Amino acid sequence: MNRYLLFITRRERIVTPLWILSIFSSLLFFTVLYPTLIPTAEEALALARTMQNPAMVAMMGPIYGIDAISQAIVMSQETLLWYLIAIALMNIFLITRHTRTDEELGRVELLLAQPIASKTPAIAPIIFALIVNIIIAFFSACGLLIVNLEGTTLCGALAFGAAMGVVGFFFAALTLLLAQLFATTTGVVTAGLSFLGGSYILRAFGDLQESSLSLYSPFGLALKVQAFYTNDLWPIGIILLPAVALIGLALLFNHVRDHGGGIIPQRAGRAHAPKSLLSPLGFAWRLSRGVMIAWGSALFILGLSYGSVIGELDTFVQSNELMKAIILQGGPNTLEDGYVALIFAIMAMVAGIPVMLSALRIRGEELRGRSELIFAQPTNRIGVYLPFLLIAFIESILMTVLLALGLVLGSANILALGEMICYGFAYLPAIWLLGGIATFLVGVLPSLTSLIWLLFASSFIITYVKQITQVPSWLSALNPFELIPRVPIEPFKAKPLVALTIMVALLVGGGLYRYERRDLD
Amino acid sequence: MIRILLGIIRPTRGEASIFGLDVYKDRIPIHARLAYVPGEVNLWPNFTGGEVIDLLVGKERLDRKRIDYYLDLFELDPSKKCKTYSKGNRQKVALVAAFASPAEVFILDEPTSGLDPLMEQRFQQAVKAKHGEGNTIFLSSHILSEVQRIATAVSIIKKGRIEETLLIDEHSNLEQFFYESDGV
Repeated sequence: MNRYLLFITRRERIVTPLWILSIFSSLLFFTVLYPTLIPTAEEALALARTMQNPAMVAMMGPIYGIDAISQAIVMSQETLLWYLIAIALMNIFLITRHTRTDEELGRVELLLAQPIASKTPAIAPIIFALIVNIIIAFFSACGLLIVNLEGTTLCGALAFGAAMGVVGFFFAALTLLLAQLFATTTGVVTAGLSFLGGSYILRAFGDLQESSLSLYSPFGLALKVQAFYTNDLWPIGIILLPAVALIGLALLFNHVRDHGGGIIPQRAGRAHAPKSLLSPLGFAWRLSRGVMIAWGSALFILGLSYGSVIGELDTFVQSNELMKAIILQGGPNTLEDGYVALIFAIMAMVAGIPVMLSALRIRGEELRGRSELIFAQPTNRIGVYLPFLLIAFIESILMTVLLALGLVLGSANILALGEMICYGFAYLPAIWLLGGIATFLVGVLPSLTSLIWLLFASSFIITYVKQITQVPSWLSALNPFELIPRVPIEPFKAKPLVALTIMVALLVGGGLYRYERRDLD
Repeated sequence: MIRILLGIIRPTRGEASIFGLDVYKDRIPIHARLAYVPGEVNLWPNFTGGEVIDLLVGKERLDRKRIDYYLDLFELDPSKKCKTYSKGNRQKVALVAAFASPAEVFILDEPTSGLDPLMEQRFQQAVKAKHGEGNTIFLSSHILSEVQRIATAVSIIKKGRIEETLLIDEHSNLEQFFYESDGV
């Protein structure tokens, strides 16, 4: 057992420390922001009041300790849930890696040929996870004590860390059980992530209704710790009990089931392709839909959360001159217009990512050695590529609409849907330009397709930095998003949009022309 | 060289044709009558084997009976995701798709690597049947005994050039021929 643990430790010498480091450094990074964000008690109270609106409660959990508000309480209320999710993810992946994945790839079989007990491959990973979670809990508590926000107490920091550690351990135990139930890595990870998502949503509903529903979710329970306020420890105990039970059940199942199999029989996939898959468009859709759905829901949720603060914009900005300056951009605008313009300037770029991914996907097929199979078919290359570009085009519109819809719903209809969609559509030519450049690279400079990410990253950084300080004009010229009028705080101009669209047509045309003719890798 | 025959890359020098058509310019009409099994079979991890087979055979050429026949012959379960297949099973997916296509020319690149001896035998059976129906099978292989058993003509390629070509029957000794031509 000891040697098995050492063996896991050795295999984890890179990934787990990276997880620990990123959780710890983001905790430090976000915690040190609070003294600048809410320097005084009034500001802390104002922010806490903003957090009381339903959308925020649904997203980050219930606000507590209004009567004894401090930076530490606001920080804990706003951030703890995100660390809980991060640590839950880490544990799901960690346990899956060392149980089902190893078994699926035949590594466990190799190890079981050694003189070890048959349950060791199930027990060792959970012990490893326990140690890792204790380390993270300890580091987090130390981090909070080091930053020492106003209102920080030893008990609070320990409660905060313990909540993280215990939620992590719960998800490790859960995953250990799932690894016995499902016979594939995908099955285990999907079930684990679904449980995570379900727990989050259950907690959101429970917190909104202020009902006991939250107590059935590990996240909801962990937030009941109320770090830096009541510092309750009973939720920790309540999460530990089912975790131990899950491990017991997992070990029992591990004992009964066949090696390589799962308790739940595997569902057979389709033996034949559905008709829809056999058309070039159906094929492109099948390869793109995962990203499209994930990105679409992400943009919708981001829209919801950005929209939800619209009503409280005044209270939010009142005390923060810097933020006010960023939003107003020095013009005679209303706060609301400035805020909406800012959101679109940044989110339009995020919406461009799936568009670029779709335009690049055919290059991925080439790099993964599948273009030989595709093009041994009696199809021309443009016929295969065009559907991907069509999907990219649809994505550009869909993402914008979902973002606008999220904003409107989040704002409780303060914003008008038609207007928001129009503002979003103003950015479409810039998004298309990203897709157009990607297509051009795939056709003309296939070995340099990753340049598109460099361009995208620099555009993103320029847009971001520009909100705070001046950027030299030659640098701005590198950013296609600069050409877009910043509606609604700038008047709408059609000329740059038409020019961009013509450029996109030329880039796509050139890319497709060369793709039909060039040698494939 | 096979990638040139498929019109995926262009030759630096020389030209190639199949059915009297240029392999690059006329690749689409050629591919309508051709089936291909790559040396290294890379499939879409989230598609099932059956889905890939249908996709590779193509909507117009789909013949369920023929597919089922070759699935049986190679004992392949088409309902599994490609990422769960072993190398041999991925090879089988490509073989079933190729043999189930109504092609006249079959280009097979090292098609038996990863197959067990029984499956290798089934493969030879399928090749012989296709040949018997009057089709051309283009096989690239390092396994001389396999070539000896199924080929009617052999070319040895060295550094991109055809070194020797030989028509073979049951009496020819391929191995001797191979080492004499120094084509190791």
